[in-house]
Amino acid sequence: MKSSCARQVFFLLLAEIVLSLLASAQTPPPWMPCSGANLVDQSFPTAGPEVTHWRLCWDTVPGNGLLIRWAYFRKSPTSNWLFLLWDARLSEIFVPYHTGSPRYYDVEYMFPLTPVGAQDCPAAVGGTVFGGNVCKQVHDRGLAWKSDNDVRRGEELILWSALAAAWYNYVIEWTFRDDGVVIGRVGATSSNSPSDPWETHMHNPIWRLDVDLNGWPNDSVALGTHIESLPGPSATDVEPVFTVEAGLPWDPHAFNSLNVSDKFLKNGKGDQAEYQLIPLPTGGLSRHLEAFTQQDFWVTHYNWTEMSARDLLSYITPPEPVADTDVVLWYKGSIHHHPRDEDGEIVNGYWHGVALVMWTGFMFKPHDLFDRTPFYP
Amino acid sequence: MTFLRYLISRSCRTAFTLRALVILSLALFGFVFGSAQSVPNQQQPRPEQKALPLNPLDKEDKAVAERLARSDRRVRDLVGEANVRLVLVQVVALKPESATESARPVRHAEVVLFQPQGEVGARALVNLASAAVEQVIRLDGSQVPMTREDLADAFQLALRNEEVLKILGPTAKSYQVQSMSLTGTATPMENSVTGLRVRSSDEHDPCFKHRCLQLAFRRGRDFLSGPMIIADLTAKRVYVERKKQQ
Repeated sequence: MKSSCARQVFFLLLAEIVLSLLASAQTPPPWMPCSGANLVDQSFPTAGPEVTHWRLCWDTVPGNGLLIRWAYFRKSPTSNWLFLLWDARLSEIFVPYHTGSPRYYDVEYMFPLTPVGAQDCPAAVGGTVFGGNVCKQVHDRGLAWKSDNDVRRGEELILWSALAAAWYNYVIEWTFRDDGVVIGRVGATSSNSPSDPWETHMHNPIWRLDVDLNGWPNDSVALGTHIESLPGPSATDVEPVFTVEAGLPWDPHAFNSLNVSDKFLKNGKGDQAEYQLIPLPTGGLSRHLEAFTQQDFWVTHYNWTEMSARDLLSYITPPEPVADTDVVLWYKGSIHHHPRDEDGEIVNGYWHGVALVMWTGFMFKPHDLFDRTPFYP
Repeated sequence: MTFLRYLISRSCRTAFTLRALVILSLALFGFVFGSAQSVPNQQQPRPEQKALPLNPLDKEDKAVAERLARSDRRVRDLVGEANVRLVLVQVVALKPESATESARPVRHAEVVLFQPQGEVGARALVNLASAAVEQVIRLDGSQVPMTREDLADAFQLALRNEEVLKILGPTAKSYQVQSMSLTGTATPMENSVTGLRVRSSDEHDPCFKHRCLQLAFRRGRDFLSGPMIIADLTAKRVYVERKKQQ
């Protein structure tokens, strides 16, 4: 009896040692340049053994609103932490009205953020409020994949705040999914212009994404392009690399994406890993008189003083080389606001009512980063 | 411990084995936990965390950065010393020259100052670790973001315009300029004036080059409807524009 007990205790302890050693074999978290509430550390799934993990810093500044800095992703507990973003922010929101005037530049005033409280960010949806103006939500994101009877629901971390831009509110949202995807969105809401409440206009958010895949040198950007051989039946995909700084239109028929790679980053199969910026337009992407609105994508060389979307043309003149270096991506989305009675009405000389949130954004998606389907048994 | 106890057969649950198990498990847990603590690069709470490069600036950091910028000769040459407004002071994430893992960013602040008379600004890059201004860049008035002080100027201009006073009626003086808390959150007010920066695309329009701000007047939840009231801060003029209803 005594030896049987000893054996049981021995094997249980052995199991505990093995499990503990496996746990301690995780790659240690990287040093982060922020702390406290400004440091977000989120592993997925939220219940059960960890698979993927995000570590990032956020900050808020008047004008630009909510920024993401220094974001790392780890695709498995034993993988290296992958540096992804140095700084991601909304650079401008340009709002021209149909009659040609006014033309607003909503990030060029140091607007504060709106208050955010428990009603905006309820704990019931995984919400936590930071500093009275930022919401963090961690929750289910719907189906990650389905294969007949097999299914997995995904999860995501969302950070958002809202810019109080006079009569507008702009919801600035950053999503970090369990599968390594990042989504940036802006939602326009609150009041129509009290002086032109029925005039159609466009809200054009322009993001500046200082992407540092696997660190900040050695990155290149290619234009993901799908080509149909019409009138033939076949199609091809090509990825011409940007050699110098440039602005380019997004062609929905070509499924254009900005594909960022690092020459040293390959997955376990030896394939070149990428992160692909894919537009998520709602309706379309606009063009206006101003030069910086006449392209959807821009690729520039990193320069800490180059933060203003309005000056993009000057940033690429003359164009600097951008292959195998430190690159910054810019993307312009559009929200076409055709006012409707649902937006509100004039009551006793005052505009009364709010426009429901309208969104636009982009997805930043890994390609050949994982060695196999994430979260697949 | 409950987990381990559950797995051990009832016959084994003697005081001796349980005591041994508890002691060994605690020792093991302590070993593993201790090992994790000693992993290099592992983030640990330390007293100097406040000074981590990308943590938001506190009141003291902001004051230091502003003082350093204002006292820099290059900045003074650009904007002078009198009536110079602080536009912003915030963390700037400057990349180290090297990309090695040991290369860490140094805590920097970006300070933007503006001289409204000459409509010229200066952007100063302040190294908070060495208390030095590392770089100064001249900014045109059109490159300098607008602030609550511009809004206050615009509102004062508007209050001197008879047409605006007629539009606002007897409540004109009850409006207060929108303000924000220390955390950068808009402070709710009953009657507030806010504004949006406008630029014209027509080079004959003064707001093609001038610093112009369209004003909006808020009462509770609602905004005063009616003509556009645009303050031209460069020309110190107010334009009241009516659009035909669509």
